[in-house]
Amino acid sequence: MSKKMKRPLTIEEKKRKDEEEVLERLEEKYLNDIDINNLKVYSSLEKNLVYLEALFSKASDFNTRKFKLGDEEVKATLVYVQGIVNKGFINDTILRELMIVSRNQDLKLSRSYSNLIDLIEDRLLTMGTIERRDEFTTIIDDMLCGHAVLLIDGYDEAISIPIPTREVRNVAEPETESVVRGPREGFVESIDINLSLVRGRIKTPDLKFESFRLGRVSKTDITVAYIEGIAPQDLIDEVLNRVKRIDIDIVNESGIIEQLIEDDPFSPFPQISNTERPDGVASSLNEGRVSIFVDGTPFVLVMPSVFVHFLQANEDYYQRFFFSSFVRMLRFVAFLVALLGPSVYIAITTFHQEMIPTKLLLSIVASRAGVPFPALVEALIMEIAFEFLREAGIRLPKTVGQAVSIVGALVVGEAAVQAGLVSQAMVIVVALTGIASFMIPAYSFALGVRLIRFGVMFLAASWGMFGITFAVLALLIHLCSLRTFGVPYLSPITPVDWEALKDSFIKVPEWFKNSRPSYLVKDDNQRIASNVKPSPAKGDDEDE
Amino acid sequence: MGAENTTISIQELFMLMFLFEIGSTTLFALGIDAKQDAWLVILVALIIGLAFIWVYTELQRKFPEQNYIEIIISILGRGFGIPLALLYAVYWLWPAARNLREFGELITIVALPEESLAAILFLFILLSLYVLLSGIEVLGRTSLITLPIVLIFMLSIFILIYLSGVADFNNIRPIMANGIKPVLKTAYPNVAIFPFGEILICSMFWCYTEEEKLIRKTAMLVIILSGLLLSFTLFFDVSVLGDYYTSVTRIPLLRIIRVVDVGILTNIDIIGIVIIFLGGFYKMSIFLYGVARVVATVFNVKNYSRLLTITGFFLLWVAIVFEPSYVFHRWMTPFDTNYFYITFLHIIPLLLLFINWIKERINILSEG
Repeated sequence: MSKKMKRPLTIEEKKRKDEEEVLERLEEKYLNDIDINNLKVYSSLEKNLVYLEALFSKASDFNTRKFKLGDEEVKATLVYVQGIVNKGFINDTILRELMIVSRNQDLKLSRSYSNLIDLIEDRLLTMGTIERRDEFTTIIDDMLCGHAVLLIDGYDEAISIPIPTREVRNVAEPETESVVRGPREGFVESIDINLSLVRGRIKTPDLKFESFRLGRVSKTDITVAYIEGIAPQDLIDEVLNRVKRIDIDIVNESGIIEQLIEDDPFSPFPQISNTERPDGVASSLNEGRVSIFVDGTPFVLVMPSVFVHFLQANEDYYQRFFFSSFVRMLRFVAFLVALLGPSVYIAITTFHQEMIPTKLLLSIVASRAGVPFPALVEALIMEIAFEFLREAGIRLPKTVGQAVSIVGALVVGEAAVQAGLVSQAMVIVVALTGIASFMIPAYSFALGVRLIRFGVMFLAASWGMFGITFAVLALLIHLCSLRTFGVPYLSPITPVDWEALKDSFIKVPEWFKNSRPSYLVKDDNQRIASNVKPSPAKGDDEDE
Repeated sequence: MGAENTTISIQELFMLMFLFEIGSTTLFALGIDAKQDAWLVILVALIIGLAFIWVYTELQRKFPEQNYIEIIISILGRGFGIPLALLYAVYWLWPAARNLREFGELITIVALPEESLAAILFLFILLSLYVLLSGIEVLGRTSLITLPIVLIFMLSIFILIYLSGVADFNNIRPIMANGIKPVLKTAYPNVAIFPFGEILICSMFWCYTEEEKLIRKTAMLVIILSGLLLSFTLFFDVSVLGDYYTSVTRIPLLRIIRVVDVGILTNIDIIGIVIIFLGGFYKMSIFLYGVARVVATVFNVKNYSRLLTITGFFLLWVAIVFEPSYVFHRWMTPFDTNYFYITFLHIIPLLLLFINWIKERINILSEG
């Protein structure tokens, strides 16, 4: 018995209990005409208000504004949740029209309107959208999402007016993806603004936004965006399916969605990328990918994302191709260094000393002479210290963060070397590795690399180069077997797609990138007209 | 995991077979019995290999939807087919185990003399099981990345050796000093079987490719290219080391890598180790796949992943218990090739084709 009592109520049960409570209170007042199952709006204003007030008891931001409508002095009430509705609209537009303009309007003359609600909808409320509701569940949902609801005595229908408002940050340059050249606008927390930023860049009716709410408690707005005709239909269906399957209480950030829809949750590599940049989302959509906007976060998900996407930055497309290609190859090298740097150092110094040219070997030996630890321990100490510094720097206020990095990098690093705890060579290796991991544009991808690094270090310490080759091959196998939304993770490298390889480790000139990547887009591949290759003007002004 | 929906693109097939062919061959001085003409031996064996590719692919053409074991059973019926298929499983298990053991030992010899052999073999098997459990097509996809690496490494070795100026092409001369006989004698059966004949195991997964018509072309291309590469390797081996040293040294490829001396590039053994590792890994994995697939086909096993895992660990056990040493291998090789391999790789496929031809004739006669 007690066991049963202790079990927390499920949400369904709690909801039903609340409802019963409310209905009980209603019953106290209106003993006669209560229908337990009826959750429709009553025609009695008072009954409706009792119901709503009971439901929103102890919610201080719930507000009711009672007034008289028109000359006939019909009782009406505007209910809304303060703070999430636009006060200016309520005061200057809705209430003015209902309380003052409605008097001037000759309501009696409008004979064609037998229904006051029709009249209000057609003649009075000068709002872009209003909705008529007759069920309490929808009314309550509306109110919680920033609608004001007008209840009129004698009518079992309500008018719901969406006037949501919230404090939003200004559109500013995204901090996580800054560019030298490129747009300086970034997403903000409001989904409406985010969608408008993308719509502003893709002006075609084919750009679809499919919206719904997710989260039993949070009721977060989610929008799945794609370009019809470019994104393959099965991809769109798959994304929508996976998102709609989610049943969760709260969605605070797109990362939660990401973890619930990715293909392989145990892979160290992310399969869905996130970006704060509208231009990034726009170009991804144009490549036939799908993105998910989540209200309340500036990070928009883009899927499917394959290996090469995580080593690309938007700016690559804005700079000329020589430099972009150079930077991309550099990033790939950085990826390898970040992954294998300390491990190769451990393997070489522990097992394969003969590989190092003699002079270099001598200087490494000299720097390691006083170090009491084996290379693995040395590397672990430094790597972990470096990770400490990194995490500490992120969470602290900016000013303190700088102090931490100075103390960490200069003081601790220098002191550790002088005290003979670690060798100078190791400090260089770890620092290089750290910098290399900053070269990876996608933070979520770099996280995976940082983690794998430790595993490879252990293998290198046990089996030298054999261990590293083992690790690399194992990673390669993993990457080859990984798929994201049906696309092999290593496309376009393997399975090979020569056309798309033009935009992977290198970036060919824009006029040479003829088609959209075919591992993503099946139809409508044409990207750029042929013969757009620029060349000096011919004829006229030449002196031929 | 199941074989039913596996598809391998023709590119992947090419890469897989190429890696299989390079496999362990880079390690041995193949055809060195013909002294400085070893490189010629390879070319002659290549032509014989091509002929047998025709046989293997002809069988595949007759039964495009079936793997080699299913073809055997189709031709011979279950009564004769199943025992033969099991013999194949046993036979393929042998090179698989040898391969595994060889690479384990080579790694310990060249890189990790103090490590336990069993641990290295265990890692090898683990990796192989990982990729095979993800599917043979994943192995194919990885080969698209590893084959270019292996090829680039091999080419850079040749270039570096040439730049080091240690290659003495006089070592190759005189060509065919003792006439063509020793060349032919070494070419068949030894080199024609290892490595060229061994490609028969690839017919266990030829049926998964969608472009059946290209199988023959691809396989022949693989044989030609890998034969040329091999011939080139031996050419360099002999020209750097001379025929006597090539025949007595343990791993000629590593030996010639050691003489590279260009600027700061002096000790690039690691490149050799990577080539050995990758070649061995692919060869062993394909053999392991073949063995498991034979058993799965014969006994119609539903739980393929479990079967594969068991086969893998059985292989590990065989490799550790039945193979005393690397020296034993080298001693054993001619015996293997002359008696076992030739039966399974040359005689049986030829017989199968012949029996099938007779059956077809009889059918035509009885119909007409």
